[in-house]
Amino acid sequence: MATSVSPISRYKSLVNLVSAIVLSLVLIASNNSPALIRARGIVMDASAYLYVPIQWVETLFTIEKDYHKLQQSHVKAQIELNKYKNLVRENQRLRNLLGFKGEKSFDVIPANVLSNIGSHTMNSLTVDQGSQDGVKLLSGVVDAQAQLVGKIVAISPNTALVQLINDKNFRVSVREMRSRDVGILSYNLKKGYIIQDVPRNAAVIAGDSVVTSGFSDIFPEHIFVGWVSEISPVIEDYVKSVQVDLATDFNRLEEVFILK
Amino acid sequence: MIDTIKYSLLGFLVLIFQWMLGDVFSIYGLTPSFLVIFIIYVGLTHSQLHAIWLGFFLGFIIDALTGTHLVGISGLALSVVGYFAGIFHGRITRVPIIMQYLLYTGFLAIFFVITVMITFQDSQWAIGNVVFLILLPKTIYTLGLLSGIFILLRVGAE
Repeated sequence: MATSVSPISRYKSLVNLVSAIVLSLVLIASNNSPALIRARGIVMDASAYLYVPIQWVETLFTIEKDYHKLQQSHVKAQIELNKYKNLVRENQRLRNLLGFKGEKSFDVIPANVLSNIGSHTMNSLTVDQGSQDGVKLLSGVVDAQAQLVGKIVAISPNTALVQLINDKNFRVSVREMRSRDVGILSYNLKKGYIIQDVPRNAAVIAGDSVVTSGFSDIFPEHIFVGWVSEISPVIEDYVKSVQVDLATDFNRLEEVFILK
Repeated sequence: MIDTIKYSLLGFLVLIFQWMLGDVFSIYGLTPSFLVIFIIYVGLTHSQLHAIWLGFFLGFIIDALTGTHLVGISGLALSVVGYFAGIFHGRITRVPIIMQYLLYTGFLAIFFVITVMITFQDSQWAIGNVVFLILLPKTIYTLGLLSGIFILLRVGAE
C-alpha cells in the first residue's frame, strides 16, 4: 500500500533553506532595529568573557617589559609635556589678546583591546569599555601615542566595536600640517590611503605630517594620522592626489583611548 | 540529538577559531573563512538540515562579532552553501575527484559571491577589482585550506 507523503516533508530541505533565507533577509533589513542592536550587544559581551583569560595570560608574559618601556616613555613625555605646557600657556595668552574663543577640551577613557578583526565586512576591533563606562557611539579612538585609531560604531554595556581608520569605508577630514590644506582621507584599493582633490597649488611635499582637521564632531583637531608619502597629479594636473602612510600600527594595538 | 549537540559545539569552536585566529592566516589582507569549510563538511558528511541551520546561526554570530553593516549576510550565504553541500551528503565519495574539487570551488564561490559582492556593492571599487583582487583570491586561498583539511579528514575518499 502506497503511503502519502506531504509536500512539506518531501521538500523539507528546501523549506528549511527558504526559511533560513527569509530570516536572513529580515535580519539584513532590520539592521538598525533596537532588538537587533541589543542582540549584537549580548553577543559582543559574551565574546568579551572569552577573551579575558587569554588576555590575562598574555599580560603575564609582557607586563615587566611593558613597565620598563612605559617608564622610559613617561620620562620623555614628562619633559615634552613641560615644554608644551609653556607653549600652551603662551598660545592661550596670545589667543586671548587676539580675542579668539577657547578650544574644546576632551577627556579619555582607557580601554583594552579584546580582539582585532579584519573581515571581508570591515576592519574593526572590540574593546572592553562600553556604555556603562561612559562610551558613546561615534566617539573617536586614539592609541597611546595619540594617533588616530578609529571611531566607535557599536556599543554594548561592557564592550564597544571600533571601526578602524584602515577600514575601506572610513572617511576622516584631515589637515596637512605644513601647507594647512584640508581634505578627506579615504582608502583606495590601488593607491592606499589618499587625500583626493587637493588643489594643484597646494604646497604639500612627501614627509609632511597629516592630522585631523577638527571639522567633525567626532575627532578634535591635531590628532596625528600619518605622513604624506607621495603626491600624484590627476585629472590633467588640475588637482593632486596625496598618498598617506598611516602612523598607527594596528597589529600591535593592545590598549586604546576613547575620546569623551 | 547527540550529533546535533556535537556539531553545534564543533561549530562554536570553529567560530571562536575564525574570530580569534582568522587574522593569523591572513595574506595581504585576505582572510580565509573556516566557517564555510565547516559548513561544507557538515553538509557533505552529516546532514543537510544541520548544515543549513548551523550556517544560519554561526553566520549571524560572526556578523554580530565582526561587522557593523548587514548582520545576516554570512548567515544567508552559509545556509545556501549548507543546502548545496547537503545535496551531495553521502554521495560525495561516488563523485570523481576532479568533480569533487569543482563542487568545492562552486560552494566557496557561492559563499564569497554573496558576502563579498553585497558588502562591496555600495563601495567605490570597480567590480573587476572586487572580483580579481578579493573574490577570486579568497576563494582560491580558502579552497587550498579546504583541500588540506578534507584530505586530513578523508572527506570524499572511499
